[in-house]
Amino acid sequence: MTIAYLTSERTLRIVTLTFTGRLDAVSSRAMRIAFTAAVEQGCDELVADLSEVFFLDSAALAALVSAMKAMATQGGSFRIVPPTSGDAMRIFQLTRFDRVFGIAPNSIGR
Amino acid sequence: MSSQLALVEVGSLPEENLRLRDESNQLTGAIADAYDAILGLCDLAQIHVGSLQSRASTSRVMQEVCRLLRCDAAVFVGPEGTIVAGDTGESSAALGLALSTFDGTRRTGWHDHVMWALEPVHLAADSVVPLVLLRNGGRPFTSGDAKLSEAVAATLAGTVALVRLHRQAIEHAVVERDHAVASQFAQSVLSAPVGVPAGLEVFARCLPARQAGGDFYAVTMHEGEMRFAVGDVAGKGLPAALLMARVLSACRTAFERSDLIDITAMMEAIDQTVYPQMSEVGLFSTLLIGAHRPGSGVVRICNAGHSPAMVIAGHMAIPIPPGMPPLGVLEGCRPEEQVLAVGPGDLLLIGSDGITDQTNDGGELLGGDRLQATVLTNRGLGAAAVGELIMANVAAHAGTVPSSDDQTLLIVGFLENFAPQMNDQLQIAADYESVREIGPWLDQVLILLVREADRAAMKIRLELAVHEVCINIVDHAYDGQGGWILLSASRIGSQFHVQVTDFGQAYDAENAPRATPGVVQVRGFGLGIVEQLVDSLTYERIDRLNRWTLTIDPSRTKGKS
Repeated sequence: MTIAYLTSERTLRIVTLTFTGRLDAVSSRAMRIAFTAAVEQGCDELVADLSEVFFLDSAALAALVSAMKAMATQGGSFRIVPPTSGDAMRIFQLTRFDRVFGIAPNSIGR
Repeated sequence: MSSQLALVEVGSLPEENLRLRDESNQLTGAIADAYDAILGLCDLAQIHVGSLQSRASTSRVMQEVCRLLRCDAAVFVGPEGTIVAGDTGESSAALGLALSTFDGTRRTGWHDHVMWALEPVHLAADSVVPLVLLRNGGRPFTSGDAKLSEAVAATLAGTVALVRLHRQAIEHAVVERDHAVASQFAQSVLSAPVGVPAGLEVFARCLPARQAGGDFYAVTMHEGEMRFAVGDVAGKGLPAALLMARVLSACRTAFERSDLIDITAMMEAIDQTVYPQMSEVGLFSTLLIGAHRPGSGVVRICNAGHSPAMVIAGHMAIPIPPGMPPLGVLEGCRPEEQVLAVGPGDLLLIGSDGITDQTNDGGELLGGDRLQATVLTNRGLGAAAVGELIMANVAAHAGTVPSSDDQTLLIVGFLENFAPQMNDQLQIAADYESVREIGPWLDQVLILLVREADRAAMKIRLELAVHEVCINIVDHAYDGQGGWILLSASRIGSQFHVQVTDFGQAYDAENAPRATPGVVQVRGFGLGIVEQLVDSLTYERIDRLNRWTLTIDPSRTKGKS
C-alpha cells in the first residue's frame, strides 16, 4: 500500500489520500494513522482515493467509516474515489456503503 | 505285600503246651494280619493320585482294599460310576442284597456262603456312597475288619476328593493355558509400525499382563496418510482377546478403505462392525483413532472413551477428551472429530489405563500426573526415547508388583516443518499478516478442485469470505493473543467447501456485533459480508475448537459472483 497526500486551497481545503494495492487488517492501521493526521491538520473535505486498490476488507472499510465520522464531527465531508477493480468494489456493494460514502471524481486533485 | 513269619517247631508237647502253641500261633497270625494291614494302609496312602487317571486311581485303591481286608471282591458305587475289584461272579446275589439295604450306615450280612460288609463312604456333607466288601466261603467280618474297613472308606473318600481336586486343577490349568495362548496369539498380530514417513517418529508397544487383557494398537499408512488406533477391550483372558482381534481387524479394514476419508466415517464403520458382537456378549471397548498427513500440521482424532491421550505442545500437555462413549455401549453413536494443531517437536501420546493404574508395593497408582510430568520433562528426547523412558518408569514404579493389566503406549513425534505440502490444507498463525497467505493458497486449491470456467468468480468470493472469517478469528476467538488457524478445502459434487478451524474462544453469536447494510457503523461487517458472499456459512463448536464451513455452489445462481 502507498499513500499520497494532495491539498487544494482554491475555495476549500481538500485533502486527498491515495491508497493503492491491498487494504486489509494489516494496512488499515496505516490508513487510520493517515486519516487521523489529515483530520487533525484541518481540512474541509477528506478524500480517499481507492481507484488503485484491488482488495479491500472489512477492517479497511471500518477505517473509512471512522474517517467519515471524524470529518462529520468537525463539520467537514468525506468522499471516496471508488476502486476501479470490481473485486474491491464488491465490499461497498455488499455493505451498501456505495450509497453511504460520497463519490468523488477519479481525477480530483491530479 | 504279605508277611512271612516262621513258626517255631515245638515237636510233641503235653496237651497244655499244645493249647499254648495254638494260642501262640493265633497271636502270631493276628500280629501278622495287623502288620499286613499296616503295610496295606501304607500302600493305600502312597498311591499317587496326580500321576493317574481319576478312575485308575480309585481302582488301584480298591485293589488294595480287597487285599487288605482279604476280600474276594470289593465294589465301590462312586460318583464316577461303579468300580469293582476282584471277582463278583459267585457273589452277585449277595452284592445286590447288600446294596439294597444301604442306608448310609455300616452293615454286615450274608447270602448263601458269601459274607458281605457295607461301609459308608462320606464324600461330602450330603453325599454318602456305599463300599461293599465280599468274602466267599463263609469267612465273617470281625470287629477288627470293621475298623479297617472304616479306615479304607476314609482313604477311599480322600482319594475321590483328591481325584476331583486334581481334575479341577487340570481343567482350570487347561483353560488358563488356552486363554493365555489365545491372548498371546491375538496380541502377536500387533506388529511394529512400518513405512513411517520422514518427518515422523513413532513409538508403539504393548506389554501383555500375565492374564492378557484386550489392549491393542495399529499404525498404517494409506495413500500418504498415517492412520492409527489404540484401544482397550474391557475384561481379560480369552473373551477380551477374541474381541480385541475383532476390533483391531475392523480398524485395519476401515483404514484401508479409500472411500473413508473422514475420520468420523472410519469410526462409524468400525462401530457398525463390532457393535453387534459387543452388545451380544456384554463387553465394550475404548478406541481412539487418528489420522495425520505429513506436512499438514494437524492431527485428526476421534476418541471413543479412551484415556490417557494428550498432545504435548511446547510446555503444555493438552488432554484429548472423548468425543463419544466406548464402542459397544450405545448403538449408532455419532462420532466427533477433533482437529489438533501439531508442530515440530510436539508429541501425541496415547496410552492405556494399564500404565496409569500400575500400582507399587504400597498400592499407590502411577497416575496421569506422573505420566504427564515424565513426558513434559523429557519431550525434547523424541518419541522413541520418551516411550522407553515411560515404560522404564512404569516398571520401576511397579517394583515387584506384577502388572494387572496390559500396558500399551503409542507416541507420535512430529518433526516436520509447518510448510504445507498438500494444497488442500493450510495452517497459518492467527495474525493479520498470515491471513494474507489465504489468497495464494486458494489459487492453488482452485486449480486442483474447480474447473477453469468457475475459478475466477469463486476466487473473488472465497478470498474475501475466508479472509473475513479469519480476521474474525484473530480478533475475537484469539482476542489478538495469537494461535493457529487451520484451513482445508474440498469439493463434493458441485459444492466447494472451505473449513476454517481454530482453538480459541467460542463464537458468541448473541453478543457479536453485526452490521446492518447501509448503516454507518465501525464494527460488525465481517460475518455479514461473508454471508453475502457464500451460499452457506455454518459454525460449530466442537469440544475446544471452532469450525466455520463456507460453501459455494457454482451451479447455483444467486448472483453473488
